[in-house]
Amino acid sequence: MDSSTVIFVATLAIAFIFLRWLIAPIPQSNEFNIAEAAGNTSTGQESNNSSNASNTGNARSRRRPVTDSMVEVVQTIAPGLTRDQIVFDLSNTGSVELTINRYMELGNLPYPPNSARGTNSASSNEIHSQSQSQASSRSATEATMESNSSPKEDLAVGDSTSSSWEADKSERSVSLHRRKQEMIVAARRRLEASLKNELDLSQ
Amino acid sequence: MAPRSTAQKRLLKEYQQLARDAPPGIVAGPVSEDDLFKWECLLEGPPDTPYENGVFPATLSFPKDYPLSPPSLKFDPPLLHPNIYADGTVCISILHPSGEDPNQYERPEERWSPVQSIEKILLSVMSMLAEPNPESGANIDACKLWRDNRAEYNSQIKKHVRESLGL
Repeated sequence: MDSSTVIFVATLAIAFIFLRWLIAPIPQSNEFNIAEAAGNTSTGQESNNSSNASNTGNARSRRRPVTDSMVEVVQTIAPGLTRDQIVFDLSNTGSVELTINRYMELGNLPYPPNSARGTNSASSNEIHSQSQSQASSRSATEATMESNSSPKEDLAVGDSTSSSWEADKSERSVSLHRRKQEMIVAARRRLEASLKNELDLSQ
Repeated sequence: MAPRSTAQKRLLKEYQQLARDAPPGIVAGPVSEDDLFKWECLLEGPPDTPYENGVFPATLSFPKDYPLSPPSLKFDPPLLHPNIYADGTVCISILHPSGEDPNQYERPEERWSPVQSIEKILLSVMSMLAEPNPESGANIDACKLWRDNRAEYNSQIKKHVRESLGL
């Protein structure tokens, strides 16, 4: 075989391996660069939080980069939210659309658990427990959003009062109807009493 | 279960919250759960006002893009009040679309935004019943009556309350 052919095939193989090596790590390292860039561009108090976020990003792969433009988009739709809330939720969802959907459904977004602390001296242990509490609070809100709540939950929440959330659609409408009736009957009784009072006073 | 839109999920959640933990004097829920965009509520008249002891039915109609746009609230039958139109539609700042008021009367945070809720609307309406705002009147006749002849205004409302409860 010609030596130039051997060199050609070897060069191809090396180039292929080199390219594979070059391509593979790019998305990951890019991700962290963006997160750090976001931390650098934001100012003052936010830079603490953002660098916190990027720290957590290193510790936890579920964290996503949050860019200023994403925060701005959410802020335009939700002017009532603080920047911290938006950054926190965006770093969980990683998508403007998901965050806005969550905001529409909940009417608000949770505050970041470390908003009071504000320093980035948190140890990796703390960050881990934070992420766990975030996960549990998120699953809790998701659970309350489920339309068919478990009967156990009903017992826990609304057993003492007459108002509660029944599992069944028709039961719920019956209970709503009952509460309306009770309100009218109670108001009627009160009005009757007050009319009687007026009558007594006038006599 | 059929997939629900954002508006439906949000309405169901607010229904759930109001069913579990409603503020006193307020009962609200969808007319039927098949159509979450139409609600029926009962509001009690605040004590120490002419509306005291009254129970006033009202319908809430939600737009398909709720909570981006505010719902509309209509008392049925209409109620005599300076801030309620003659057809029963309520005119208060929380029910106005979000953003700046073109007339600069209302601050943006008073107006509707998705952070508000049905509960907040109904509580605002209760306080509106207790304290009319004649500056942004909707029913001119009611405004005049309220301002010039309070005794007649009160007695007309008391009559309405008695008749609505069948006494």
